[in-house]
Amino acid sequence: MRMVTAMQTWWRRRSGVAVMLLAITAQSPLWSQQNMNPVLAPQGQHPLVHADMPPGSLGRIRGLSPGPLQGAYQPIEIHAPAGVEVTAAVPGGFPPPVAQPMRLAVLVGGVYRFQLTNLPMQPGTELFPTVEVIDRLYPPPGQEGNFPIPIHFDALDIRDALAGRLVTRVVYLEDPQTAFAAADPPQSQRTLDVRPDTDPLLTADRLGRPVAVIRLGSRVPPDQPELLDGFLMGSPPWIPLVSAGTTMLPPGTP
Amino acid sequence: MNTPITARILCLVACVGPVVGCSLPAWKNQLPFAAAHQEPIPSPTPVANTSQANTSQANTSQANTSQVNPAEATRRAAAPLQHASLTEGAAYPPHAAVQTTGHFAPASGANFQGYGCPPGMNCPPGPQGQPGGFAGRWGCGPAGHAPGQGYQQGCFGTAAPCYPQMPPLASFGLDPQEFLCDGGDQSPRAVYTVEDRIAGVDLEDTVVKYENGAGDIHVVPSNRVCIYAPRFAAVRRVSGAVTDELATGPVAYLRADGTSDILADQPSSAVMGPIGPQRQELARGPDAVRLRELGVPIDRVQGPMLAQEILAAMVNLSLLKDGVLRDADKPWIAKGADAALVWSVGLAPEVMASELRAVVLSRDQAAEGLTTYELPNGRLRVIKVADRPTAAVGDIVTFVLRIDNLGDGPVAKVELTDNLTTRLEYVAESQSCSKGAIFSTTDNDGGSLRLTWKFTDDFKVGEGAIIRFRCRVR
Repeated sequence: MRMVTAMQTWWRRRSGVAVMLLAITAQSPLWSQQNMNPVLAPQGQHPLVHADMPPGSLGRIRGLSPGPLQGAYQPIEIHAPAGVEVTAAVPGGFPPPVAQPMRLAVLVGGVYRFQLTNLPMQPGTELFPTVEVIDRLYPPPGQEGNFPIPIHFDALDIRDALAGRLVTRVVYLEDPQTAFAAADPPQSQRTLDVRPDTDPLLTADRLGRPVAVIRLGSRVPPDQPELLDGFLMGSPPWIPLVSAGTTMLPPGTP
Repeated sequence: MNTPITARILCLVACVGPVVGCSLPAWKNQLPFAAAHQEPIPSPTPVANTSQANTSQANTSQANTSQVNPAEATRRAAAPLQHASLTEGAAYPPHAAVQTTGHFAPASGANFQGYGCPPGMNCPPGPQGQPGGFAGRWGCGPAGHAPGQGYQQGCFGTAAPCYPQMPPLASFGLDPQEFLCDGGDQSPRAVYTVEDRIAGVDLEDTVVKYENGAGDIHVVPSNRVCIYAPRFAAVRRVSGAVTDELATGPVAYLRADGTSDILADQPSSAVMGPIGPQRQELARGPDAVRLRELGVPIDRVQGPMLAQEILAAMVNLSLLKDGVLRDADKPWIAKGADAALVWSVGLAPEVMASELRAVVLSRDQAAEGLTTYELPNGRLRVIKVADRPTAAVGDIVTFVLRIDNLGDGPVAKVELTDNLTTRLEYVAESQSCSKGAIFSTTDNDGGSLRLTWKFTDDFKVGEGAIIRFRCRVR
């Protein structure tokens, strides 16, 4: 007897409600639309995906969904306070930081470990946040690198992380029909703070389409070298992109 | 002289020769004057499949167009008079929001037929076990990669492995949230009411109201222009340092000493059992990510393809230049509706002068008689284009509105309304109109402005106007 379990996720764009589908078929290995159940049920049931899932889980579920997500590179742009140096992990460690804003292309579903150094008023302190891109954009041909997902590590996030707290930031694509009628400067990002018992992924899904999850805490690299690869989340490959503020590419980038 | 009525009369009455040829489709494309002034409705000549489809839409839209006389409006006081309809559906489908910008171009290195696995090689199975791989599209990987990663044979006779090629799915239908649209008439439709106002003009709507010679009042929408301008925001949550714990049981109970303690609740503290390590095992999934290292190198598709420079010559479009739609221009107009069309203002007058020299019909004006018929059926068409297909926050987008009277009679009381969407901020004093009009702005529900042009003069037959204004993307 063949038993194939398939999980499928996609996002309802018009209504802004994310749906993950669970398909259990006994006969066919293909996706079955009729055996899929919604994740975010409107009756207040527990969703199957939430922001508290460990890094990589959301991306893995998204990777199982149909669509041009597997193996797709999505450009992102890293923003941090002035003076803060940012670099992304490569196998074995971190390359030297580059100028901001750092622009790179990452795999959808991959978890990338970053290193923040030269923090303001915190000499010698480092932070190691993770960025998990769970969805991608579909720009016109030839414009793939011009519309990155902005990833912001703002000063408030850094302050909370240095105080021992965990900051979970879910970046979502705004619905233009309900967008806020004010422009944001490129150095900042409009942020909605929610209570600790509120799922930011669910909230972001109601406001738009979640595309990335940022986790910024106080975790530091392990002392044992054999655990470093796990800390770096496997160091998935990324491609450096040249942006307006980039003058050189980091050496040793994949 | 420059009216289509004159040309038609010359044809019907004088019959001065085949030069005019207004009623013969075979001659239309040969005569710039005839094509320019005698064919306000696009020709049904089957130049392409697109034109055929558009022609049918034009007939449908015309059939759906209803006219309401204000004299009858009093009998319909409780109901809106005129639904917005599209009179020129051939060029502007009423609900075709945006034409597809993306197209399935052959992937790099995949010069074999279609996107299937190249013949004679063993392409890896697809992610779901489907033969042929993801969406049936495979291409060769970067040169220099040895095919030793489980593939038995190189890609298309090369040493490169076979990689799934991601199609440029940049069509509008994939996710409209990434686009910023303006124009058209979204539901509910715009209507003209007996209170002499236009209702139902929602955000993004652009409609024009006019009255023809018979007293009928029409409300006509423009086409819809969409610009790729995604904007992001974030939801932030700050939690304690200890996470991923589960309440497994109470810590202790408080023993009551007497009846006075009956109101004292038991403490809600509980034993917290960490469940983090189990989840941490689940997080060790980078191996699966490595397997997905099959994407298209993004530097390959990052060429400096600036649509603005490439399409700058599209200012020669007769539709924008002199308001005449030709079949050959329809594909470009479709792209213009998708904001990929560039409007270059500076070059327009030069080309316009060179085109108009073809209007040489003086010898044919020696007709025996000239009879002028006053036809009351004026009809307006509204075109809207943007100067750029993509925009970032803070960029300036220039919109151009072209209004033409394509009917057989003049129209009066023309009022154009453009209700800007939330993320479009009108740049003050940036509008210009080639015809006399009273411009006004009012706040709308989206925190933006509702732009209104009330034309002071009538639109004669074949007469048009061009409106330009700029918006800043929020």
